[in-house]
Amino acid sequence: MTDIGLTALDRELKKGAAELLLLSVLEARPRHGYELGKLIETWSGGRLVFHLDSLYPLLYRLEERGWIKGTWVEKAGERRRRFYRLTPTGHRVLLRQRQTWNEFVEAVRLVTGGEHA
Amino acid sequence: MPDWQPYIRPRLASLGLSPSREAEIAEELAQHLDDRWRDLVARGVAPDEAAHTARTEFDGARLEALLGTLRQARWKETPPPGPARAFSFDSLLIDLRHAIRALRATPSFTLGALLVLRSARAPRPRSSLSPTRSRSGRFHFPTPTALSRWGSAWT
Repeated sequence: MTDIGLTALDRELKKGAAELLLLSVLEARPRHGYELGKLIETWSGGRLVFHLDSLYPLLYRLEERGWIKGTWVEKAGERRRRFYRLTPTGHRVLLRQRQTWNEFVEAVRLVTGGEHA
Repeated sequence: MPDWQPYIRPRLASLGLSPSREAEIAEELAQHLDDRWRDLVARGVAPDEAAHTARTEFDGARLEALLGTLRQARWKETPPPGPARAFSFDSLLIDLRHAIRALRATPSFTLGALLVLRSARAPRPRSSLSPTRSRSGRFHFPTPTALSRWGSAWT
């Protein structure tokens, strides 16, 4: 495999993981964009960081696919905020992606775990 | 509170977003930068330095490029709808009669159009580098050709 291929594969794997991360954090309840980024960073121990330039385009893409739905919520004395929630389709996609991801990680671990050395 | 709009609006202006959607996105991104600025200030960073950090943490060109790939960024390519016409079964029948007459007059065009419509319904291959799964549950990595096609894939 070429270096270009490896770079592209790395990018694509990260992209798939990014979708799964956002859907997972939205599973429990609706959240706004900044909160999503903060939670992913905190829960990953600071290893995963989403900046504005990749977070929002991905949120809008997931919304276009019908996996999440954004709604402006107004609270007294506060600015309105756009909260995202999983749609029923998004729930189904999350379950499928989570299972596939876990099986893929396990398959990679079986090869890279050093048990065959 | 810093004004983020001069950093956000130019990045959205070149996209084909509808004016209302552009305003929504600008508001949402500005809120994100406000939140980031507040977090930094709360941690003891000087306001000016916090504003600089928040501004430099995102890549405007990247934001513009990624937003440009969305369907909503092609809103301006869609021609505005014409004047509304009241629906009636009479006009529907007239339109159908015209359509059938036109199709009968050009059978080769009709056949060609039907073939195109049929091929358009065929499932398109996924343009993805993620390992795909076969029915047997195995993961298959993409071919090198597919990898090189995806040189511009984004994260």
